[in-house]
Amino acid sequence: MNLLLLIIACVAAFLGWACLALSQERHWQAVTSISSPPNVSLRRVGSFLIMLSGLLVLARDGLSFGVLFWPLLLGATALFLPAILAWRPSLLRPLASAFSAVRLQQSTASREHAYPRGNCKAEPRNRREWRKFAKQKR
Amino acid sequence: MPQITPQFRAAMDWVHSWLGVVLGAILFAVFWTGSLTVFSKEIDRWMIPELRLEERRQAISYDALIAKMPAAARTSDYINFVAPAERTPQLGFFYRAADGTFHDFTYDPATGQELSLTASHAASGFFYPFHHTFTIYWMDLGMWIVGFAALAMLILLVSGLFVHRKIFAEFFVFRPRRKAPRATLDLHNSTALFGLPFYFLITFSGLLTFAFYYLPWAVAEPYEGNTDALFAEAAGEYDPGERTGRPASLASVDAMKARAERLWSAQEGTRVEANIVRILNHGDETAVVYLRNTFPDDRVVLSEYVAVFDGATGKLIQNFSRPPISEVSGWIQGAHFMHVDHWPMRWLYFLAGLGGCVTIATGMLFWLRSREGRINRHSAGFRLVETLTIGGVTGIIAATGAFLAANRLLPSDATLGGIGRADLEVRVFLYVWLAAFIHAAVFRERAWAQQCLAIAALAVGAAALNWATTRSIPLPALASVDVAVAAIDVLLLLTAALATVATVKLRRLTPRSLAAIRAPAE
Repeated sequence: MNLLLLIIACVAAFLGWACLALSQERHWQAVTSISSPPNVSLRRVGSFLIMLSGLLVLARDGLSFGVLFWPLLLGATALFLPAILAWRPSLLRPLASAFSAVRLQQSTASREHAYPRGNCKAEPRNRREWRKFAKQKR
Repeated sequence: MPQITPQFRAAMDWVHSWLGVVLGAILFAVFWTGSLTVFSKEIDRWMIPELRLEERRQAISYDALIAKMPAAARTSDYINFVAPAERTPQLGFFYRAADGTFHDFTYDPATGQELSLTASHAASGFFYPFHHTFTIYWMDLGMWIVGFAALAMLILLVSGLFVHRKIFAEFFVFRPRRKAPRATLDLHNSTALFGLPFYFLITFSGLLTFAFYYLPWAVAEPYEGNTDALFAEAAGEYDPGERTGRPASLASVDAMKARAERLWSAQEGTRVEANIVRILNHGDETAVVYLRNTFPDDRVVLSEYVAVFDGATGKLIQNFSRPPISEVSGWIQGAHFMHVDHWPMRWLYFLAGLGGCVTIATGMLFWLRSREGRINRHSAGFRLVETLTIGGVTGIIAATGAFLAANRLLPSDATLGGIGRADLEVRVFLYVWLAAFIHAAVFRERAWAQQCLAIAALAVGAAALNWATTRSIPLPALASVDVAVAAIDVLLLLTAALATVATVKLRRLTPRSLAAIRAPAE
């Protein structure tokens, strides 16, 4: 039971951070290739999940431990997001599609056609692309 | 609210860079040894194999132990027992001899036999004091250096929030494929932000723990400068005074302990045990028995229950419990010591501590990378920061590896020039660290890869030596009592793997490829 609460708190904190990240335009675009942020308030859902993780931690560990444990848990779960957004943004696509299912499918298709783009906004994905990119710039 | 002007940011930037660059290596050392201290008891078990006892909760008769004490302890004015706990199943005992020297013993609580331990300071005896004193005891210089560094850390945390303009807007941003300085700065920002509450708490609580030491005047003033009176009132310390020389026998310590625990448990609502059993002026009519409970395992606040009994009659002289006013400072200190029985929290403390190491290392690295094009790479200042960064980051990690390897390699009776085995291990740590700085000064950026390779070799070597000398194989040991030891071996192998990957990646980064990465400007 205790372990289950801990796992749920971790998942809630991670999903909360993921929603908050997606609520920022640049990350929403990186994940979905759509430039406008979605209608549903990701920020509100994200904040709710973060708070929920806090409540679960407090329920599990009490106030004295909880106020120590919760910030640490938040920091540890947040750490995954910059890594995911930098290397595997597609991992967050299921979450993003939960907030706007239809538009996302179109965008995936258009993204595949559009790549590789020649402008400098696109991030080269590997070493070879970097070299090509650097050459173009020159 | 005053406007944050560019001038203000520039001023903060100035403070942030200077403090960071000057104290970065010191802060890294404090964070690194602090992170290791989170698992100090487990590292002790790794380094002193005789401590790998099975935990058995059983009643200990202090009366029987006192009866078996060495003869020199019988007239000691200071005898101390440390009760076994979950992470330290052994029973500690030390006394102060007539000449003022302390003598340490460790007993197996199951058999009552004295354990003959590998001579090593291990983590509790080296990493822990190094964390707050750098083991520089001359005029307490080390403590002042660490105190100043902690104060600087608080300034760095606050100034950093102003220096990095878009720090909250770019909360989740990490751009590993951009220019090296950009990626380094992203990593610096995100590790700093995600750990920010922890870094504030740990730095502040560290300072608070020694507040009486750093700033004794204000708190000592009501006691007219007599700090003993202060500690008697604030912490329940007790001074039995001088021995009178009239011998007296000691009443049953076990009975006193049982009575103290009954009193405390009734006050607290849950079972409270005495961790410290201390006998002052043993054998004299002024003898007292001092019982204390400091580190409860089920809450953060350090409890301070102290009961003092008259040695001859067994009468309760003083029953001290922490006054409510010190509940807050007790929580803050407890949050620093992390003594509680809460493994997820302990792991998060360890990871957050390492996160602090990453923040400090990337901060220094960013200083170097961002100035490479702007200032002369061969100037004395640049080279000094480069040396401090390499030696301060990979150097201390390699020194830790050497410390562990030396612990397994040195024969049990090793002495060199009058230095005992335990001190030799510490010398190995210090000389390897010093060598890392010299190596960094000579080989410059190539030293990164070379020192990473050294870390990998030392980590694998230490794990292999542990297996060779104690036959505890990581995997089967997981199921046995040696979970702690096995976990350290696994962590060592993980460190080796990471260091190997780092070596390979750094080797590929010749000056030419560095230029290629820098080419696509933002």
